[in-house]
Amino acid sequence: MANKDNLLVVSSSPHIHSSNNVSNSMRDVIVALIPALIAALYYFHFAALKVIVTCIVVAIISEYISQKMMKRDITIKDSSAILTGLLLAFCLPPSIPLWIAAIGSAVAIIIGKQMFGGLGNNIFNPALIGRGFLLASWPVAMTNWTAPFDGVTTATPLGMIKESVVQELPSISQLFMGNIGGCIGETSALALIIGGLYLLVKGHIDWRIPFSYLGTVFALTAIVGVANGEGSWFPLYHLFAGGLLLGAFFMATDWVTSPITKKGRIIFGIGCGLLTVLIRLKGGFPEGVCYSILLMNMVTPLIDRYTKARVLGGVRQHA
Amino acid sequence: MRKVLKLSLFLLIVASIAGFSISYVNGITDPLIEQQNAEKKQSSFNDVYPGADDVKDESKKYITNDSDEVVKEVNIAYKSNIPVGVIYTVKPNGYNGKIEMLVGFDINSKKITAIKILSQSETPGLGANSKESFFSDRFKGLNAESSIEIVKKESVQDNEVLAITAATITSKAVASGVNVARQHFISNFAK
Amino acid sequence: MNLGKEFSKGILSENPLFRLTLGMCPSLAITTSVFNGLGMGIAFTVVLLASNIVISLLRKVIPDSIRIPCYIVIIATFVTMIEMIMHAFTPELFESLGIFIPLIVVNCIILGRAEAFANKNSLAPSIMDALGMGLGYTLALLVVSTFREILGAGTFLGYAIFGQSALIMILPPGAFITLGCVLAFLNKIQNRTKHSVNS
Repeated sequence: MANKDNLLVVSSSPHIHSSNNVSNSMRDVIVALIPALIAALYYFHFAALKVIVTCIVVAIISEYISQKMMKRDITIKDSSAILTGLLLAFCLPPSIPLWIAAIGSAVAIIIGKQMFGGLGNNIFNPALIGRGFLLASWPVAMTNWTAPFDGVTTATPLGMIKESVVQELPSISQLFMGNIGGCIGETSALALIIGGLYLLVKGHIDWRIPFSYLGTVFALTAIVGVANGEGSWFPLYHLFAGGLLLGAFFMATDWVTSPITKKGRIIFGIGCGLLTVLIRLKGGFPEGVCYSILLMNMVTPLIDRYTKARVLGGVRQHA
Repeated sequence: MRKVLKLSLFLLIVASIAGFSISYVNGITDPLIEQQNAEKKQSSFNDVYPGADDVKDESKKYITNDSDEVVKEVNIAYKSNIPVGVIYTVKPNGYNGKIEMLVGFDINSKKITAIKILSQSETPGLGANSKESFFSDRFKGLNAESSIEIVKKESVQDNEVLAITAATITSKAVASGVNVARQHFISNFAK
Repeated sequence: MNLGKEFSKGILSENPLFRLTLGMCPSLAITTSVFNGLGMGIAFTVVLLASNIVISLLRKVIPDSIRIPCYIVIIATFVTMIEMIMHAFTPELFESLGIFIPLIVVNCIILGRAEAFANKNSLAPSIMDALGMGLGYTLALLVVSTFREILGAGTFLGYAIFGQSALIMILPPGAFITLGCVLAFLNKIQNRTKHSVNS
């Protein structure tokens, strides 16, 4: 495994000790998700709570069992399983049967994470693997949306755009606050932006991925909107609706599955944005954040290889 | 040079033996396959337009436009030598590929008698459900004179068809096939 | 030459799918139901048996330099015949296996057995080899398709077992997940038996 090119560069002293470690950072991300959690509980009440608790508990149990079976160190204390469970719950509809949520959580941890070698070795974002698995397995349950507060069956804003029933669309302010049908943690744009800014300020995520991702989606939908004669609501809708903000701030920025170079991160964000817009406007699904991030996860090693800075004065190597 | 000739001759012999044995098997199985296809066609015609004495393929007469992508066959059902129904073979584009289906119309009442999906490659468990009778029955008896729309709500009005849950694209594809056949039927047979 | 051994090696120790990991493409694609798996396994076994017999009989006649084209012609002939016979007598199976019957021609197991076994061995061992390999492949397809049909469609051989099954298992990703898990399980067992033999 030890490839010479991949060794860390160690500089000479003095070194500053940082209190950052895996479990601190994980906990900070969870803190950043608290506004969205509050919004979810406010809009979807007990239904959201049940799904969130199920996902987190199953994630922790699956992590423990699979690490025990694979004879690895038990690392449930580093909170990464809690984070995966929470993120998965955030991109499920509130009306989902609990056993389906539980299977998704187990798949996310066992197939998405532990089978690849555990934290740090996974190719794909585990929560998105869980969601992809569920979407392919139980598409009916996964696309059955309920309205906030009363739990009446409804459609998501993106679903309405896809079916071109724009007259029923909620207003931008409803969309921004989260008073719409959708996944548990995705509805409130405001709460997600607060959480994302917290992570940026704390330095846990690089601004390049979310900004290039959101910027690409905004720019492309603005162009398409103008070309089709839609109003200014069109790009704003695509920005605030669906899982875009959650995906851009919390999933695309996953340290393990996104590129490490600065240029690579921008390419990664633009790629995610491009694929998201393509799936939303041209594909069969109304929402494409999950699949676009998974696809870009797949090419992350390639992006890293081609954007790696050359050693100054070094001889150009033939790839 | 002689070696090459020898080798080619050997391959030629092997290939001819293979060719002859295949043609022998083909001679046995081909009539059976033909018969099966004919029977299958007849029984599916009977499914979409029951009670006809005879069904004749009159595609040449009615498909004038060669570039027609969707309408593949026009079959006329006769009862005591009077044309009573029309059975179309249409191939609209589905979610994963072409959906081949039959659409039957009654000439007198100008209504859809039935539809039947012959072959499709839609997603198992979702779009593939279009071949089940619960979906194709939703088209039975619809009026051929106005366009058929796919809807997702429970209450369907005249000429609205409830989509298959989570397979709207396939449902719309089937409806588009029916609509193409419907237009052809109205312009050719409804006087 | 132990005929029993030639037969049994194809089932476990040299199972074409689980041990040699040959013929993956049809195995992944058609194992959506036990019925398909069984049909593919039988068609495969018949072709393998026929081609092994003919190639073993002709092993001294076929010139070495053009043996591969000869094998391909022989195999393709049998596959075409099987395809016609299935079309005529089992149209339902023919339709669900679709493109994968003609593709038996390029199934590397058949060419592999012709090259590695039938052209070096006499008739009897070649027949046993074909039967063993065919049975091993059929069993492997049955194992994979059983998991996939039960989990993905909630049925076994068409009989409903439970509703609410995980559709993904009869979609392409399900094939990879199932095959990966079965291979991992078999490797684990093999490692354990090796350990116990060593200690």
